[in-house]
Amino acid sequence: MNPMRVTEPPILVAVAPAAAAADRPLLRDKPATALLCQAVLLFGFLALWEAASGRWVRAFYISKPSLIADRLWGWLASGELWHHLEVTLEETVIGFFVGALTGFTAGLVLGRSPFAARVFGPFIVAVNALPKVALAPLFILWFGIGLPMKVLLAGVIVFFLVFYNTFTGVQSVDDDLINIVRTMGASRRQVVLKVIIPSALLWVFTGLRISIPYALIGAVVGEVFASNAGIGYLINSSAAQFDTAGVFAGLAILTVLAACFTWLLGWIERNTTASRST
Amino acid sequence: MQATSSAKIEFHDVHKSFRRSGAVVEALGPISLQVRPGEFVALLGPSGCGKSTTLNMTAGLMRPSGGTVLFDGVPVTQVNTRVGYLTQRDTLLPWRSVAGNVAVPLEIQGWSGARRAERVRQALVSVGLADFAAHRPAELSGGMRRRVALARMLVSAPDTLLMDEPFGALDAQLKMVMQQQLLDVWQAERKTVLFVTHDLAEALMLADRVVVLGARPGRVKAAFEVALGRPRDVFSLQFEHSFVAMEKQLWELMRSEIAQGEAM
Repeated sequence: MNPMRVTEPPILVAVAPAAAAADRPLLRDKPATALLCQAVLLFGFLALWEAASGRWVRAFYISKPSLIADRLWGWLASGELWHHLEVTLEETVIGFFVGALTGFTAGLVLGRSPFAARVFGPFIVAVNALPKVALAPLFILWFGIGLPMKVLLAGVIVFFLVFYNTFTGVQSVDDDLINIVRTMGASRRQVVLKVIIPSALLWVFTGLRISIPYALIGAVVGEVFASNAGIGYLINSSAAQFDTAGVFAGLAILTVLAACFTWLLGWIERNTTASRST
Repeated sequence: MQATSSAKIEFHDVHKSFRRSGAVVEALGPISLQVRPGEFVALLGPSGCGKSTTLNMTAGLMRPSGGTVLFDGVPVTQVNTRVGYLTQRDTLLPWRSVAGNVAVPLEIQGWSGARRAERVRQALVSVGLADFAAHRPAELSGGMRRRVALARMLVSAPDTLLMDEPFGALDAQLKMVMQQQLLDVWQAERKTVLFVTHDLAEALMLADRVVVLGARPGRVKAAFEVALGRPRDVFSLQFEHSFVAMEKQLWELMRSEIAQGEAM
């Protein structure tokens, strides 16, 4: 019926938090035991890694935990790490806000205008089907290898996630609510502010939430493509120098960063559900 | 055309058809109808006879496919903001509190904060929900939500009320309480009311005149003047002989229509 309702990954993703929440009590049953198991598993893995490196597998391929720790410490001590972390974070955050703002606006406008949705629909579906990462070379041509190119890459990915969620949210606003408020004498602007946006807000929040990790993906992919700073740059330049320990160190930092984002996401999720139930 | 009468609401040969999967479905009419200022008219008819369509056209939310709808002698060509509309479905804003919902019409009209709060408080007191001002609609029973919707409709003091089976989903006792509340409001303010229902007793109980619509496409089958005095008391009225006799009379009138409606 609607040309733009072809892909709706946000809905699928939106279901996930509920399932995760259901798992939580199980873990909480015996937190100490679980924690101990996790520690044993982690250190066992690291010990095995350390032992295997150079003995069963060439160190060139897998490096070894002690070397990686050494590299991390070096970056930390020289202050290099903070610089790169700051660059990546900056790209991610700006990209997120640029994508979120434009995605929300576009979703709102197209969601309210069936004609515009019909006209732009096929184009948006086509551009969305394109793997956004493939745009990186074009953005490099346009903006060089600095911050704007990463912001744009992250922003484009976030744009579509937020756009589709806002669009769907705006379209699913109950027409009866709109009509009743119109009979009260509401102007178009009042209808948008009092009915459409509040009603679509749950959808918008879902879109914003799920696009946080995607913003990080956009920024890092941009850095791996071409850059002179950022965690993605650290990984890429280490690989270029056949420095396997450096690559793993970069990946470790990314893992921690992504975990922090996931934690932030969970925190937002908990707080928005709390305010929803009051 | 405008000069013909001083009616509040006027339907001149109005009909409405919908396009459903290519086929044109006649939903209503053509009907002609007049509602005088201050008159309480009940539209009575089987399901699907276009009763709600009539209200939607009066509210300007729908255009007639043919004929004209006049409000105060002027054709309704855009949303009619002089009516209060109580729909069959719940249309409270779920993210707002009870007080927040009742405040919507006043916010739109630009009332200042303090005046608005006071007016909302009064409106909630009048429907007995003063203690529930901070609750969300989802926390209320169906009957309470109806009362909030009623308060919201009345708060901006529209001179005409459109009501679409407003008490249809309520249990018998609560329904009578709400009917009495509506009658009290009407008695005090004499608003024009166009009240859609499929409940015969309800139509008689409330209205000055019952207009019977036939099965789809709805046409006016009969108009029935309700010769009951005012003010009315729904609780005692139901047992009065005159009321029971009238109910029987109206039943006879409607029987053939209901049979026809069921057959479709």
